[in-house]
Amino acid sequence: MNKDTIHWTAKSNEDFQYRVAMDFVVQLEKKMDAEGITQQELARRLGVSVSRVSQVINKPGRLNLKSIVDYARALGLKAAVIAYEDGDQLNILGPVNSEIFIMSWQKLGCPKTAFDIEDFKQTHAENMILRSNIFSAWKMHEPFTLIGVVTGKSVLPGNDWNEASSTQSYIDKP
Amino acid sequence: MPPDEYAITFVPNVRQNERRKIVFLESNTDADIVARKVFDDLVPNVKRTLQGRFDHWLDGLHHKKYHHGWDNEPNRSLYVIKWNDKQKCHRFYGFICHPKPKTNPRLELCVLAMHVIKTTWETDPTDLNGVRRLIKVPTVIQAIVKLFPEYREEGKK
Repeated sequence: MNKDTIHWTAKSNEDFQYRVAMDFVVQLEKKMDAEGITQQELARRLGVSVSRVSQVINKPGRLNLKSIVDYARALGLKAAVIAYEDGDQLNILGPVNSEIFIMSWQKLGCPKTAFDIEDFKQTHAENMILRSNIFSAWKMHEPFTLIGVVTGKSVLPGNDWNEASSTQSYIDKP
Repeated sequence: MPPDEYAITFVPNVRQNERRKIVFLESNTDADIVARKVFDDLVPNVKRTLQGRFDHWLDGLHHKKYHHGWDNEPNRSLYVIKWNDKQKCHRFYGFICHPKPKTNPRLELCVLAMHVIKTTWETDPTDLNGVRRLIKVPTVIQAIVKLFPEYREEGKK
């Protein structure tokens, strides 16, 4: 195998750790940007110096679990530590970015329990059937009637997931 | 390095994929094209930071503090990768192109070329003009074609 194609985090666990810490820091920065929280404000909440916060954000290699929880909680976030298998035991391809895990979790409706996932799957399946019926009716040029509209949390997948309308339409053929 | 005026080489040890790839533009003759040399000379922690930035872009993620293009740029072609070191704001300037317009039109190639230490909030237009010029330089296009034979300058049929 070409050594240039082996991911840089395969070189040492220190490299891997640095990358995981960087992924975490992006989440802090995004939260700070979204809510207009400065490094000074974060330092105040944590009771540490601004230079310490700056150091963590710019060179996160020495973050430990306690610091991770402290920084997350200071911003009103929660943190999780996940170990996963992705079929790449030698880490040739590098780690999956933690933002990908978050995006996947949000796509599933931010479940908090295994039951939430089951409920999501069921609702999602019902919606897929509904969408399929709408498409079939439209494709066959068959008349259909709107029989009701309900509001609630949208579970319709799509590119505009986060901005998805909270309104769903139910239709039925006459 | 071949005797051509320009060459491109893949950024090593990052997750190149079929949607995004990232390369350095190199040159024996153009003194502005130093991104590869700067990258090679980075101390380990800063190099890790930059490799993390590359991964972030390659994975299709967004964070303007790490990397971004310019919306008002034709084809959104100019691109910057950003990092801080010793309280200085470093930038790699380059451009994005689509090197496989026929067989994989979704593939984006980020060609990193110039290194700048930024001293003002606004980007120096001279730096961006330097990259704009590169996009159209025939020998730069040839360098990309060597690795991606389908490539042609953006916008040209």
